[in-house]
Amino acid sequence: MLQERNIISHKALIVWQIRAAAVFTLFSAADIVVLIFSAETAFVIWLFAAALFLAVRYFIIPKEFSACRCFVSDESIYSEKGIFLHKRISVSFKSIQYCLILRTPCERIHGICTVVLLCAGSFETVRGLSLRDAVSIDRRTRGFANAKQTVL
Amino acid sequence: MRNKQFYNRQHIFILSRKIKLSAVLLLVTLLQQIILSIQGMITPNISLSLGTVWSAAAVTYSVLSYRNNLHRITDDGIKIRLGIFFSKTFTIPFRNILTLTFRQSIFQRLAGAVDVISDTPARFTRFGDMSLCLKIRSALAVKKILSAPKGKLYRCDSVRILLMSAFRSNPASGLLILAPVVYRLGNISGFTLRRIRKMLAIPMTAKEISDTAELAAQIMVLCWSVSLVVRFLGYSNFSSHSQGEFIVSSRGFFTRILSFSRRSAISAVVLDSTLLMHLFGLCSVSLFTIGSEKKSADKNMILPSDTKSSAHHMLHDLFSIRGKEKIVSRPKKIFSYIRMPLCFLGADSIFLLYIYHRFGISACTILSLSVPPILWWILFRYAAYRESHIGICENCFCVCTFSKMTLRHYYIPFEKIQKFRITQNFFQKKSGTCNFCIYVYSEKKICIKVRQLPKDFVKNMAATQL
Repeated sequence: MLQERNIISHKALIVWQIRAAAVFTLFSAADIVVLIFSAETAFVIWLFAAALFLAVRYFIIPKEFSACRCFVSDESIYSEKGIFLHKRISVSFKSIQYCLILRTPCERIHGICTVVLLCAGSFETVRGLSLRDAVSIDRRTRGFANAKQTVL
Repeated sequence: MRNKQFYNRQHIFILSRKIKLSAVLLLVTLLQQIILSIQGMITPNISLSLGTVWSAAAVTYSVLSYRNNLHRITDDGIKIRLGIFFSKTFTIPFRNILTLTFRQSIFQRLAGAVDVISDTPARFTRFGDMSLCLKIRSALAVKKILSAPKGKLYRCDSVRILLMSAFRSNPASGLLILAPVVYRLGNISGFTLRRIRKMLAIPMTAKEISDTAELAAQIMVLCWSVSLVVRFLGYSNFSSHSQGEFIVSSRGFFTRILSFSRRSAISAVVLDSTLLMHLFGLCSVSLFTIGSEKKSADKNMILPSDTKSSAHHMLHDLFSIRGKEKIVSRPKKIFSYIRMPLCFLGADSIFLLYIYHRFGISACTILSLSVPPILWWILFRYAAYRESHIGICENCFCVCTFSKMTLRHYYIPFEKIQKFRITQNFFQKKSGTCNFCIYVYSEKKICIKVRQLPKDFVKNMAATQL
């Protein structure tokens, strides 16, 4: 039975917005190179980038966050993500080889992480989980791995 | 997970590998400075400073990643934490490890370090799921967890290892015979090689042979001999045995490799032979498991260069492959096997005639060097045609085919066959033949293919047996 709690942390929204802002800042810094050749072109490019950043920050990221869900049951993990291309994935704990927990510096500050579920020949990514939930998924995967009699 | 004191670092030997590249880069920059500043071409300080900054950055990164790469060996798996800014944490359970390799070079032996590489079906990176440089004590702790009573030992004698090294040393060794008899090669290759020969003071031992031809031959003999010695040392102390649920193989003199392959993960057992081995009635036994395609050709070998009866004896003991093979079908048409090398031979001959009229005999002699390898290729393809077949044993499916210049005889347990495919092109539809492909359990799409089999036989066999 699926748990009712969506384990995607609300801090994921903050981290994604910070990430978008960082990308925009880096792009603006790179735009300075264009400024050397043509101020008008650099300004136009910067305007486009700013408009794109605002659209991503205030529209796409909140939509993406609201579309992301992750539920854990006794035997499997169910996750949904995507706005334009909506994906629904169900992965059984038995088929997970092991879990990878990734944390960027920003995620570390806010106490969230990304979990990569590695299966035979493929992998699935679940972003924005709290560290506690990630560790509990990792423990459950290992419990299923140790309970297996044969690998294949 | 947060207590760093329960985690261990890798052996410090791994730093030498990472710093080695930085040292080489710095050295190259220094040499460049010396050469170009003598010629007055560039001001010395700019590129030297850049090289120094780059090397310092690389060394700092290496040291930081060494300090942040931690691991802990528990009863059920290996926990790993790595990364400087972007941290990664994962645990590989021993239950899911399909192949585990312990590798120790001569320098690592002096330093007390061992490389431990593991592979699971997850395929985290192109090179394997985990690669750590551990202290010997930690590596022994990992090995102890996999311990079980040992089975019968299969050891290979030195003569067979020497033969195996010779077979795999250099496929172009046939050119050794031709190079001394190529006339006037020096006129084409020019003055430089003659100067090199004089510098090296290599004595002339054959008459009526150009200097360059003899030098080329001597260089090839030297390279082939070095390759033979290196291969021989790589295959020395070769042995394999079963240990619980693993097949264990060990080899090597300077670099020792101990490899554990889980029995349940073996998708197929392969008997390989090159054309020379086939003519001598020898073959080698290799395993086809998850992760096999990441390793180079001979790393999955468990028995080098033995007679076919010994190989079959080993298959029966280690893998319970029972019963005599019953051949179901053989290829019908030889032309599709030798079509490609015949095309090359034809093109080669036409080109030879053309350049003979334009450039004379000298240019022809170079091109004529390409003819013997093509003839060898045709011979190999003929042998592949004669040997290719599909067959059935009591508990496995047998496929004999070829890949590059090696004949491969696969023994695939029925439960490891993922799917099979029968294809026909336009000409095969007319002639009633087909290509038969079998897919086995693997990370990538691995297809074992036999061509030009009679379609009716194959269809009936597939319907009844598969």
